[in-house]
Amino acid sequence: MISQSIAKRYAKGLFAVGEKDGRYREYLTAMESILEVFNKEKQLGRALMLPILEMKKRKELLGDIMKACDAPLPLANMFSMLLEKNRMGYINLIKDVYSELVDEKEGRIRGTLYTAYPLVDTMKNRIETELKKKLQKDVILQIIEDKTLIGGVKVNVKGTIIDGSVKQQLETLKENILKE
Amino acid sequence: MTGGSESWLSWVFKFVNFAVLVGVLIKFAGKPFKDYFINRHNTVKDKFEEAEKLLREAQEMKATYEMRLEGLNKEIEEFKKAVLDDAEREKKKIQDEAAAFASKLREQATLTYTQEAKEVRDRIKGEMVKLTMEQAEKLVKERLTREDHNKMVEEFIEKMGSLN
Repeated sequence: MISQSIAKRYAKGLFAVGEKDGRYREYLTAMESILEVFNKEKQLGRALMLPILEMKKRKELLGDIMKACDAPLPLANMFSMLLEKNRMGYINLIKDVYSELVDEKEGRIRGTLYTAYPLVDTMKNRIETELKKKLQKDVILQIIEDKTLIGGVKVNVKGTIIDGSVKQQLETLKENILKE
Repeated sequence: MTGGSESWLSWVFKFVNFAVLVGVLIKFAGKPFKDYFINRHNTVKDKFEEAEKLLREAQEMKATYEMRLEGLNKEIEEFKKAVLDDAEREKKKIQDEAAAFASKLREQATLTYTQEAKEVRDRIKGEMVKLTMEQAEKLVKERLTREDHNKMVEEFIEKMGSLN
């Protein structure tokens, strides 16, 4: 809860700057590419996040990364601030919150589509279209294969769950029998 | 003075002698005798009066005790009656309480029985449903094909459409 609140503060700060200069999307892309570097080079991320190296050296290292990734100045400043305050561990959360802010700005919403079997794109698109009609927003679904569903699909968009899986049908059946 | 008989002068002398003796006795012992007898008379009289008083008191006391005895008998009767009434009331109270307790116990037993029977029924039902569902899940898993899955997704989309 506290980490969510801290992440929101940084994300909103950066987004306000991005909204002002119209480069909010660019900041998201840059943030994603920097995080990709951290994910690929785990040691690099650890060196920045853990206070093993001296602060001066960590700052130099971060500066090099920002330069190499051609990070916009407000983003580089935010990273620098996070490093100084030992809050580099919040960066993934900040990215998620920032991404939500960008989606909100562009009238988009993200969700998860759980499926028992691999799903063809056309079906995914049709589900997204139906959700768009329902929520009056563009919906982008991330597919996750979940064999426990047995068959069918389940959608989770911002906490709203629409479950059409066999598992759910069996659960409903079970509850109905027990109620009788 | 011979011949064994006394002269009349001797008799006179004896008589005078006796009279003198009586006179001396009356003179010197008359008053103490009189006082003694008066005292004696008074003492006896007092004793009689005291005895009479005591007798009266005893009679009064007897009457009082007789009255009290009579009252006591009455009191005993009343006390006996009160004790019997109390005992009867207590008996009735105990009987009522026992009946109420028995009724409560019966109710409790019925309730416990009903509850436990329901619990057992629910448990058995739950177990049966669980086993049935496990079997159903197993069967569905074995028989459900990808085509069935796609069909279900189609239905899901249609349902979502109809909800809009």
